[in-house]
Amino acid sequence: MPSRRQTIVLGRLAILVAVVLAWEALSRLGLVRTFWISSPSLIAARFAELAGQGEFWFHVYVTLSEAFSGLVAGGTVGIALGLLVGVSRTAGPILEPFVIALNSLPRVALGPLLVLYVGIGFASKFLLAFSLVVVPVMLNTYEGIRSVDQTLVNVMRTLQATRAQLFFKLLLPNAVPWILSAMRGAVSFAIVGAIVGEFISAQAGIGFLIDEASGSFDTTGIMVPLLVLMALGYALDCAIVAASRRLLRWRTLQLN
Amino acid sequence: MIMQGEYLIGGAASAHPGGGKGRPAIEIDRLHYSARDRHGRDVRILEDLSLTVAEGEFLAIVGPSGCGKSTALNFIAGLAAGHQSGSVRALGRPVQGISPGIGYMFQTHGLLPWRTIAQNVELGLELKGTPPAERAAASARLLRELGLAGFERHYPAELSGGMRQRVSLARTLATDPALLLMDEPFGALDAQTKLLVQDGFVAFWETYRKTVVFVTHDLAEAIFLADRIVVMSARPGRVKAQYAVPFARPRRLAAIRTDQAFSDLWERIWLDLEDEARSSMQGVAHA
Repeated sequence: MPSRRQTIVLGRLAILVAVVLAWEALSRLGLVRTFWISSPSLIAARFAELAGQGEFWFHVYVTLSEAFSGLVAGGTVGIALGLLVGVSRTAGPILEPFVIALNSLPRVALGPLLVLYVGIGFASKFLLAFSLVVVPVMLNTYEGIRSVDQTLVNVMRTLQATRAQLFFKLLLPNAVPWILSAMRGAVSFAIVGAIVGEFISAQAGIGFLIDEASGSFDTTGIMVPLLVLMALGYALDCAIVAASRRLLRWRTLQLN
Repeated sequence: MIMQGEYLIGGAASAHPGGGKGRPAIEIDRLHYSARDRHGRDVRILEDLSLTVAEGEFLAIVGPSGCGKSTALNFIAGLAAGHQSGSVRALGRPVQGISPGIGYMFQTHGLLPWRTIAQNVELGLELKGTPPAERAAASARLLRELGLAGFERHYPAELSGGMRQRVSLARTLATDPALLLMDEPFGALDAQTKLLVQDGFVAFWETYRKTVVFVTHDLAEAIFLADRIVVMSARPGRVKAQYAVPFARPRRLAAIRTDQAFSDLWERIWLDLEDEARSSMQGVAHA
């Protein structure tokens, strides 16, 4: 009898193998034309070819550096603004409608405007990733500050906490779970920002590769960078989850 | 058969301390307080509340839900402000802002979940800037006395409800407050745990004899723990009656619960409380 953990791992492997085999079978048996769906073996062969070339990894590096810098800058500014607005009794209500309006705007649509302002280089992709990341991180951080249990605030007050102590020892640690979950969601936003920026106009990056491949109807050429991107995004997500586990150890402990 | 007035102290407006000794630790004089509800109407919360607590006295306050018991505690602690008239003095000073020297234990444990048990107990000392070695010594001593030795490095999520409440007590005591305010601190515990925690707490209190104001809706708890019991009226809250608790210390729960005087006093207070509880329930129904 396998343990629950083993069942989960086996289940995942089964799904992965089934999808790859079905995909390969569909194209080998000619049920769907390879032109439309490529095939795992074609993708693997192309990846092996591209992986040996520095150029492919340069494009990967360009996209990741755009996404990652947008993530870090957007995260930092978002956390700072969220903390500020959460702590201040007046700044929050004043800024709230603007933040919500900005959040309802489909921010990828800012892309053309950003290209117009800062050109087709790194800056437009960085800013697009930044704009996608900053608002949700800010809203989550704000929520993390506001969600504090009033009893805990009263505990701090009756123990004579200063305002700074209230912030650093209660409000900030209380917001950490919210901040971490926002950063996790922000990873995919940052990648979306970088790729969409490259679609609009670029000279390098994964979005650029995909755009080029689609211009020559090269399905395999579209799918290889997509899958590489998926793998990298997945790895980044795992890293954030592992960091959360460490930082939030106190949440997972239970009485046994 | 209930002996009329056997344990009753004075009238409703009497401000005399029953048990305890020495100068008053708390003096509330004709306190009036009303607050706006969400419809903008004035709701009178406390009306002409007068209460004196002697140094070293254990006072229990019972009353129907929403009668302003917790509000009264908040006024003593300095957490509430904006009363319309009257005065509140604690530890010989008028209360303005958060009063130093007061420990407040809330209905929920209020432990910071990301801090270990020892770090939670040391919180008040840490905020005051006490050196780490001194803090560690204080928390180790308190945790030992409250039967929690060995749990220093655990997190609150790993403890049972009764243990968390004891940690909360340890945190409240760590700063060595002269006055303890306790707002239904054992109210959330299951019946058996509550009896054990009460028994432990009474022994602890009998050792240190700090002034305590203990809000509860559990009459048996009030009788078992306190020197004197104040019954508050339904909102707007004021003192309706006061009772001296006749049991000698040290007290043990098992002995007191079987005493005839315990059930007499219980019934006597319940008669007072019943009317108020009813009118409080009607008040809720009309609101």
